[in-house]
Amino acid sequence: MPEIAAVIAFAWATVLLVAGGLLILRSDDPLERVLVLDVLVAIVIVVLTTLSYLRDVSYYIDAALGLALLSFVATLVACRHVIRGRPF
Amino acid sequence: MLETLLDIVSIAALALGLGLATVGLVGLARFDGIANQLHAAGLVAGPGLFLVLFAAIGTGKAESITSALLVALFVLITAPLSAHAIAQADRRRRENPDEDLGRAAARPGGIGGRAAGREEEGWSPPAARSCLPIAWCVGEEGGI
Repeated sequence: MPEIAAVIAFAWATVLLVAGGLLILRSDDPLERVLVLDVLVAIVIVVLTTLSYLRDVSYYIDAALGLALLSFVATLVACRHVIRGRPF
Repeated sequence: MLETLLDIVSIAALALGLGLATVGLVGLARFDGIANQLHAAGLVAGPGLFLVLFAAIGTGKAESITSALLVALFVLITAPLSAHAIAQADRRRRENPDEDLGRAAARPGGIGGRAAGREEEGWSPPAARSCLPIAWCVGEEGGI
């Protein structure tokens, strides 16, 4: 992949990450914050993937795999916390 | 020849995936209500992410492609589950608001204070939101 394409993709993914952060700051509902945080993790996975294309190494995608696993558990527990007031 | 073709395909997938992620984020910002926002969120975590991961074929490295495939497989399993959990939480919260402990009704100034009064006073979506990100964060009522 040409380097310029990877650079543009990485820059755009970073812009999306900042936009997602502003979205979290703006939301006024706990469940909406959980949802935006879930989306934000997907964007971080995109950032790590484009970084791996940019630097031409593969282990950033492995970090993304761990992040996806952790965020899934975090979302489930945060949802339970919103509706019950406690995680379990 | 094949390398050029793979480059073109992967750049197209990358551009389309990032475009879909952008559309999803805009939808997340503009829609009101968790049920509507879940559709936009699904666009980011589903097709957007998959297309970006599909672009790994352009690197031509076996370990990149394998890792991307693993991430795609994993996201394919977890994204619907977490979306389901959020939708279920939203439904339960709407059906029995008395049970809603997470929102801590008596916190008018603090975090969640603005959301707490929503259903009691027949909350209606705000007519128009400003397009300036800073104005979104601060808001007229002082933000978070």
